[in-house]
Amino acid sequence: MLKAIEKIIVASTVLCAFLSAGAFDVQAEKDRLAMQNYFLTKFSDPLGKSASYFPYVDPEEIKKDYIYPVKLEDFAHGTAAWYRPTKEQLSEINDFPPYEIALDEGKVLFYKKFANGKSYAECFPNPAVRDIYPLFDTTKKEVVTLEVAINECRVKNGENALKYEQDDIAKIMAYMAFESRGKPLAIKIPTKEAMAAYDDGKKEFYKQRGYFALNCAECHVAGSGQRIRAEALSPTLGSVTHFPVYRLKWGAIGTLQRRLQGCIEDTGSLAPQMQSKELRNLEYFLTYMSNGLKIDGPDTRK
Amino acid sequence: MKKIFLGIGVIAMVLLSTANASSEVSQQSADTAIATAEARYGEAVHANVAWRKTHEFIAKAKVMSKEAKYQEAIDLANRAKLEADLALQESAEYDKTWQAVVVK
Repeated sequence: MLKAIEKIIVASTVLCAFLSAGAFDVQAEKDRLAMQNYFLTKFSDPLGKSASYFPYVDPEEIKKDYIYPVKLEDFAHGTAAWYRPTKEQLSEINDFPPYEIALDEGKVLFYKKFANGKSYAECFPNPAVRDIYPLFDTTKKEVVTLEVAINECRVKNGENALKYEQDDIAKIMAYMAFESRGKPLAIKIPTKEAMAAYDDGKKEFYKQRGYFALNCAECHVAGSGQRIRAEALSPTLGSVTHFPVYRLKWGAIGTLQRRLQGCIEDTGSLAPQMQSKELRNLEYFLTYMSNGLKIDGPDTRK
Repeated sequence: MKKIFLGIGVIAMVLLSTANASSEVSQQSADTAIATAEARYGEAVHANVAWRKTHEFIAKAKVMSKEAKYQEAIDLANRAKLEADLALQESAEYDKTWQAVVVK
């Protein structure tokens, strides 16, 4: 009898712990599903829904250039998921992917020994961990991106941290993303503090900023599927799956935060520092929104 | 004749000293305007809401001040301060309204 009571107590404790752990991401899950639903609805029938979602687009252009309906998994391809000219250009460019050299160099860097004889492989026995980053470190009580984890590994092994703007970190990221290809993003919100970081990132995303008073959502939620001059605006859903990217404008491979900084500056705002709390939290929110979509980085972008 | 030269000399000295005084006042005004703009811009940066070009106006104002173009320096510093003011004011407004655009 006592044993049975003991079992019940243990089981209910485990259940409570499980339920309370899950409770932190309830709102985040609502947000994610709402975001998915928005994009699936928007790109299910752009012509039929043009008045609601594409008021500035010529219906003839929708007929000619839009691909629809867009499946959930296809949002991992960014603008190429719904815009035929981009899809065709990207397909041609990726016949000889410009990121390939960086990818090869990233692999060499990943296994290159530090001065102490160890390498990144000591910190990341499996390089295919892109799917769980950025993660919330419950000890430090802050968001840790893969770039930060890479630098922590270096410092732990007596090496200098890489500059976040520098090529090497993006190359290592490219290798790790490549190894993670096909894995669905699985970002977790394990604690109350993690949820607060998520909320900060959400605010960064939705709050207007700069002398143009734009927020991220203006272009990448409501504006996605439309154009700013010749540029087709990408959807938020799936926006992180292909990073790091070789950007033709940069002529080099670069990280997500480098792109975020550029985007923020386009609003007329001073961008936060690379790997600042603001950008890490924004990355946390953005990546959570794409949970479930498969990693297909590195890739090429304009 | 001597009296005339003396008179001209006195007038020239008075004019020169007035010009110097006004230039000192202008430089002081420019320095004050730049310091005020810098302080306000610092607040905007600290709050993570600063605009992208504001620091360029402050830097230009400092160059103008060094070149004794005090009015231009004051104009640029005032513009920078205005931008910092707007950034802070608007950010306070956006803090109240951002949730309205969340996808639901």
